[in-house]
Amino acid sequence: MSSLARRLSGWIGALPLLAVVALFLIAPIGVLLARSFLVAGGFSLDIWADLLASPHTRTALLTSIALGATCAFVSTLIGTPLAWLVSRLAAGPRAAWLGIFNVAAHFGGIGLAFAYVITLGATGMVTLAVRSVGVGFDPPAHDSFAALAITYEYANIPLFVLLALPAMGIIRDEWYEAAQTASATRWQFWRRIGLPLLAPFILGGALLSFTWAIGIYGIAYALAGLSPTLPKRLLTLQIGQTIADDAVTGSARAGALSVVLIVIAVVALAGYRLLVRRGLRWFGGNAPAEAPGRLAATRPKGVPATASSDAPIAPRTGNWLRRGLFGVVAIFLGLPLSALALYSVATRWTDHALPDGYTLSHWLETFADARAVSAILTSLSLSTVTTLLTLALVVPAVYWARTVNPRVRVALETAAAIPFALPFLVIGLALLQFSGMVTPMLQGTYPLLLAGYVTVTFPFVYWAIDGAMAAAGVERLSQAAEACGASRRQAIVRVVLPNIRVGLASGALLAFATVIGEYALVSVLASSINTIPVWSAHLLLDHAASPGFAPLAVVTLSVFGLLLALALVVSRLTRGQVLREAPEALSQ
Amino acid sequence: MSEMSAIALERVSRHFGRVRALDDLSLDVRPGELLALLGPSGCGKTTLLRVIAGLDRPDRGTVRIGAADVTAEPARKRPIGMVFQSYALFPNLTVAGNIRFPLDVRRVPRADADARVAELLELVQLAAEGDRYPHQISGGQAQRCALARALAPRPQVLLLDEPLSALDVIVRGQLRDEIRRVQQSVGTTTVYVTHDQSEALAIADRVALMNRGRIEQVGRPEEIYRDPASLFSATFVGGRNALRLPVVDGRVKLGAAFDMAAPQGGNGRAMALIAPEDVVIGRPTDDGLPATVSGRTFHGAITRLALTAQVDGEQVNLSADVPSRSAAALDDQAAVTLRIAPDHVRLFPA
Repeated sequence: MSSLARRLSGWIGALPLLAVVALFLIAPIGVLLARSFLVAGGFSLDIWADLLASPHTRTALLTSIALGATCAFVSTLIGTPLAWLVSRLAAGPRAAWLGIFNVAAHFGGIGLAFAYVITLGATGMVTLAVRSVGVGFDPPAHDSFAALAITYEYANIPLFVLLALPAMGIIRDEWYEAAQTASATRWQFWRRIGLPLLAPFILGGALLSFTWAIGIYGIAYALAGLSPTLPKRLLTLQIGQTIADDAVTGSARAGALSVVLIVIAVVALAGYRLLVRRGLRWFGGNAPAEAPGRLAATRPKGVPATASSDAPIAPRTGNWLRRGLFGVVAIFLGLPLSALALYSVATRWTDHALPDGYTLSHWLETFADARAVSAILTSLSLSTVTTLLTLALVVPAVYWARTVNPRVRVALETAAAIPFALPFLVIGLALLQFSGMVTPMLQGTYPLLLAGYVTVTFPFVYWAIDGAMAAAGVERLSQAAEACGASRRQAIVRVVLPNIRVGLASGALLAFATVIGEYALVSVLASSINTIPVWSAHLLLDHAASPGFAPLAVVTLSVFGLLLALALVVSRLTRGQVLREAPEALSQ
Repeated sequence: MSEMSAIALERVSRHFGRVRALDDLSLDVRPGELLALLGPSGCGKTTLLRVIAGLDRPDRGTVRIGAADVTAEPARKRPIGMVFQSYALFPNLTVAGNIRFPLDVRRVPRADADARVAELLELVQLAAEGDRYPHQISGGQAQRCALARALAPRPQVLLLDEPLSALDVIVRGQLRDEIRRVQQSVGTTTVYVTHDQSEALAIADRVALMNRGRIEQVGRPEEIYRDPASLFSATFVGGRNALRLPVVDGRVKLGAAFDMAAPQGGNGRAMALIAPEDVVIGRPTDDGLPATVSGRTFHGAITRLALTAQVDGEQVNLSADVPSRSAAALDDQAAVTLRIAPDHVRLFPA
């Protein structure tokens, strides 16, 4: 009995989080997997046979893979040099760029799709501007492959950069200098030293961007959800449509399609771990300072912190490349933002490069519109409550993992990898089916949606806090606090929390941003709850009911502004430190 | 100039913002010698090394290696080899691969490169470790590998940036002697940056003492140690006692310990610098300044005594090195006298 009590006390801080994860993530996914092999209570491969025989499924699979591969390729091509340059920026500018990338990566969704329409759509800002100089220009249709790929990149490149950034830290400046003093050219250095060292991490990042792109639902739905052709040609859109079409047999088909996405995600995640582990073999399997899976806090063994202390190393070369690339990125990000800004104050804007006239009435009307205001309030409160709940669950769990029982950490790392790799749509569908089996009355309610949001946001919060606790040396801090006579509660409140506030802030920001832009979960679990993305999708797709797109521009821009402001505050706090954004490669 | 310098720096300046890392500095390094650049952290010594290497460009001044003006040349076109403080071994190449790297990028024929790598592995005693990766070897082995890599292309100049600072004390001593042995066997002109005076004095043919971006003094280790040319030299090297004393009637004295002529300049005060081993301890009955033993630090054969004396109503603290056997005879608070021979006192205007 006492041994059971002792064993329990080793887990107690992590139990609430693990219980939520088990109940709202692992069990539903398990049921989803099982049900794809069950027909009328018995084991069967019928669903799979049906599915694989369908030409629609095969096209969808191929198109999704092609889209994922295109996005991954472009993200890697642009994201790799970008991540390198960002990693070499001074703390201030790096913090600013990280803030922007964080918002871009997690903002996504319906707002982004709308921004595409008014930027590069048939009467988008860029389209009109190009035509106004007399060039015939037909942009890709908003439901085309190209339009989807371009829009995806707005989230995909920033995600790739955030993921690849820690890896860039393994390249030490002295290696380049040592190569120079050995007479190597820049190209020789990159070919023989830099790229071989980075290759596994870059490939791993490419694999993850591939998976993310395949799993995206919100953008795809907003751009091509009602298209007569494309819904059949993407896995996520097919899943969404089958759920909407037919709640009974559709759900079995959707479940099986989700299993396909799960398989892709699991294979990709396994590949990622393999690659990263391979990348770390030159470091004896231990993540060196600033390598993936570590916060940039420790230095390589034996290297004093004062290395080259009287010679500040500022790479003076490559300035044109840096300015050029940052310029391109700024334009890339700036175009949809300026389109949003102009659109929100335009009277009419269908013919010329600039709007015909300007007005503030859209802003005034939008904030007086009951549905718009209720969507904003609903989203803000959902995001806030999710963030607070997740923090409350994650902090004690990570503290337990770090100071009481290392085995908690293994459980947390494994659990965190699931929502990281799986599309939110799949998680939503699994929760929908599971709650239908167990507690049907929860369907369509806030508690279920909140539970879903906690399970998909906890990995970001977990990594941020885990990184901060590692950097602060929480094990030693709490031992020191206890040696001074503090109780565990006193140690957490007075010593640990103040020292990880940077992690708390970053984690909170990521959770908040994820929920405020999230469409897949809410559309599957509780589409009657009027969040900003639900309201936006309705406005964007239901032209008959829509009073024009201007309110959409107003709200999208406001949300973006809010998130950017929060992100800049947070990255100021972290001083451009690179926090973990991915599963640890080395856990078991 | 009867003899050509191996490295010549002429009026070199390098500023970082308002920090003058190198301030109109000139220095000649003779062919084949090992010159230690010694100075406190932030004095500009690493910047100077990087300017010689071409990893940093001076704002003004010229850098010559041999007869060639290399000021405008990038690092990779200079005839140098460099060893970094943190080794900077390439983690994806083996020990042999690292040593080969400078040969490969110069497109040295395979057979020649193989032979050269084997020769260097012997020279730095790493023949058995050639196939290991950097993470599989010890710090000392890593530093020997870095040394071999720097020497591989037979550079005219070898540059070492605090090569021992990341190692523990025992390995540090062995490797210091090893670097000296290797350097003498290949005869390459070498500049060795360190902040550790004992390391500099032990390894160098000549020591250049740096402070605030300038060279304070250049000389053989014994000269630097025995004959400091400036207040900074006298303070930085040798752990000397520094006493600020009044000048009275053109003379400086410390009670009955010494009495000598004051230096030129200074506003009625002078700094007296005295090495602890030059403080002579006597019995209470002997001539000299009465003092008491207020503390001690045991250093093996030698014990450093902390002494306190009263001079003109002010308390003066001094340390004195004595053989540990003699120190053992002195209790704490024991009364002694102390004397210092005037030619062992360095006076500077204060």
